[in-house]
Amino acid sequence: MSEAGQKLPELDVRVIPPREKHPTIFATFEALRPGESFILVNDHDPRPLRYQFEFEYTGQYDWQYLEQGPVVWRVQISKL
Amino acid sequence: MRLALSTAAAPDLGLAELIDACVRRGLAGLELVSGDAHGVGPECPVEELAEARRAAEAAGIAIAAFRAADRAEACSRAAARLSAVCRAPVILPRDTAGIPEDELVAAARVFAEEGGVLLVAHGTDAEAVAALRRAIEQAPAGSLGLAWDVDPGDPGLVARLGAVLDAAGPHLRHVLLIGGGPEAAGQEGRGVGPLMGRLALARYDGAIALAPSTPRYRYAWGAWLGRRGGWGCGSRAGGGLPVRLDLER
Repeated sequence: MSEAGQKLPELDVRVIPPREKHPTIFATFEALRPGESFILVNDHDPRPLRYQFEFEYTGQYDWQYLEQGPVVWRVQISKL
Repeated sequence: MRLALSTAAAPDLGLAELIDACVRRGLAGLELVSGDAHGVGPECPVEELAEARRAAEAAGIAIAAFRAADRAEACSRAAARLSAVCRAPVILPRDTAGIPEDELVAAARVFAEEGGVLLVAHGTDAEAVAALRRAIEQAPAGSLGLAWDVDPGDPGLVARLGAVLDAAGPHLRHVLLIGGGPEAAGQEGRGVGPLMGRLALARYDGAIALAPSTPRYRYAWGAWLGRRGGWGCGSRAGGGLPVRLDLER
């Protein structure tokens, strides 16, 4: 919960074909307004994604792990 | 949104095995298809239904929905009772849609009396969804909703998914994604990424149940779900090792 008590949008990428995962995540991030967040759900630690965020959106995002395995990883990604 | 498993992926598994499979795969719910081996159905006594729900919940799994076999089963008072006891909507299957609006509203009233929820399955057709919405707006609040059967094999999916989501609005309560699981890698360019992105941005928080696109994939689904034994690979062989390697020289 956040954003005035509303449940955060959740993007579960486990069903998305591998090559479409990052483009979908970035498109979702792009659609956020500053101050908004979404929760990313994945079946592994999305560290490579974080490196890509760091490269593409330096200083424009926040990354917070909500759950770290062993089966499911949940990360709250916010637009600053 | 929470991912769920349709029992169409493993119709021969009992409820306990399905729950274990969901836990292994990090899936949060089960869509129970009528007639599969899970043992839940409108004919079950209330205590059995409650026990099935408790067993799932104890493992952190929700019964996401019960997909009825046909219109008669879906619109029955027994189905409404199942919905209430299992705290899961009953889905009127898509091939029985076309049911007159007043019959849908009458069925929804029965569900409202029992404390259940009836969902009408639809495809990727915004006009059909808009027509169903008219019935939903006449039904008791919260008793009737929509279940979208999404087929990534549909070449018009990407072009139409925004219109379907707009037409469904807050009444979309369940999604069945045909494919996913072990089939996900083969669904590139078929709209699954845009679908998931749009659902997230629409703050959809219902279940997305995964089901095989064809029974031919059941072996792959079984492996994906971590089933053991019975695959003809010798895993059920008992009475010691059937093969010996005499490596001493």
